[in-house]
Amino acid sequence: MNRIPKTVVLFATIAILFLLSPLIGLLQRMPWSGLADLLGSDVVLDAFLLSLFVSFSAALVVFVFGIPIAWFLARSNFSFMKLLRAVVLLPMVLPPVVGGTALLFAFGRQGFLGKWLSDWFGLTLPFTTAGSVVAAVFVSMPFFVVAVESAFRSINEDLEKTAETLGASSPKIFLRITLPRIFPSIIAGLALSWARALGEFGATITFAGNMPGETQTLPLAIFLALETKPEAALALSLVMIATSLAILIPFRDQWLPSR
Amino acid sequence: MWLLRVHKRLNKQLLIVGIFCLTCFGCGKEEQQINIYAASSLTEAVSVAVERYEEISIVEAKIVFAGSNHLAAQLRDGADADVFITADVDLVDGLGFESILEGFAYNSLVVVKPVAFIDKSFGPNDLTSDERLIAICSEGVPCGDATKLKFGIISADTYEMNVKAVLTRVASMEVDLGIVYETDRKNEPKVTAAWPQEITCPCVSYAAASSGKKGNDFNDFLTSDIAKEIFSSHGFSL
Repeated sequence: MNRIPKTVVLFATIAILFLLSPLIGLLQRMPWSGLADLLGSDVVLDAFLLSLFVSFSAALVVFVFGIPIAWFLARSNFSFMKLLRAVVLLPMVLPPVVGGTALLFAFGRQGFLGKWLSDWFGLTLPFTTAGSVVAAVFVSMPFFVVAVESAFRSINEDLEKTAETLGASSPKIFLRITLPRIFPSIIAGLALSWARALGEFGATITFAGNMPGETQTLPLAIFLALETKPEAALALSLVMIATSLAILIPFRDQWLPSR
Repeated sequence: MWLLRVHKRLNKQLLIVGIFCLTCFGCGKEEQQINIYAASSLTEAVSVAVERYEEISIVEAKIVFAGSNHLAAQLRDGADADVFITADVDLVDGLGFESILEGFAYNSLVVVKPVAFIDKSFGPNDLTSDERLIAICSEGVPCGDATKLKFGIISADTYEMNVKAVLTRVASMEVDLGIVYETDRKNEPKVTAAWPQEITCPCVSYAAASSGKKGNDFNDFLTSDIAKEIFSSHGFSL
């Protein structure tokens, strides 16, 4: 292994300390003695379970629709590709509250699609758990697409072409040649977008509202508690940190894109 | 040569004096600025009142509007306010203000619907039915506590963090009914009373906490006839 230059170590240390200090601040203020009571409350449990459900549902939707988007963006010669990619990545830069408002304009009761959904199917997304998932998918999709698109681009297409000339069917090519090569990026992209979905706040509160047990995910419960019951907000933050660490730490190196 | 050197030094001194004067000027201006933190339900009325106050006094005001709890949290974390006008007097505790003016204005709650739903008729029973989409303030924030006190249990679909968020939901027709302040109903043309309602208490009572001469002077102004007229014209009870 190469020796890491001292300057790199110095800068990395500064940056890591910077990232760590808010976490230390949070733990330092944590009301450890009353924690058991706070964590055992219905509000915390409801928000925790709902957050798990919403973030994993969002990750599933992102997985199913994100791979085709990434594939298309990486391989198509469509002339407005740059514009299309910018549109797909837009939720990354859009302030989430703006995203939530835009979702309302589209899928809200008065939105151009929402009106139709409501009139024809009696379906309303705002104020439902499905609405929370929609908000989470909207903000987290780009993280998955970015990761998987770059993986598609890095594949040597000659491999796939060779397989094709040797008579392999396209599903077989995808499963045996393409998938193993993009798999690490799929996992990394899923982790990123899942984490983004778990932390989602602005679009959710604007689009889905705040209802305990239905749309009140951990970030919403934390925000409300910060204003009314700060100790509970800290306890909820601890739950969020523990949840994300529990999911992200077991990530093994070989699942990440190879060195 | 000698002359030149003196000249140079003089220039330098002049520059220093100049900078010093500029800083002084900056300080002087700073003295005339008053920081007012006010509950979001007071947005329109306090804006107008402060405008009048700036005309009759020499101060320049900076106003921060947000939910009372949010403002109190900012003040606890070191934000600097000469006046804190809150919808919940308990929030002033421990913030170190010198004096408190309690109950200088009151605000009643009212159930509203979007103006566009003029043909739909609603009644008090709708507040407990699952048929309607309803937005109210969350418990723990002043408008939410007042809502619970006045209307009891409501089967709402979303519990917002401040009253303006409830108002937006109704105004944009995303919900059928919302419970907002009488002043919000009066100032937002897109909403209207869901059914005829009397303006009765339990109400939200506003308190203004102040520190220093600037702050205390402003609080005196809040009880003046000019301020009273502004508040009552915006729908507050006095």
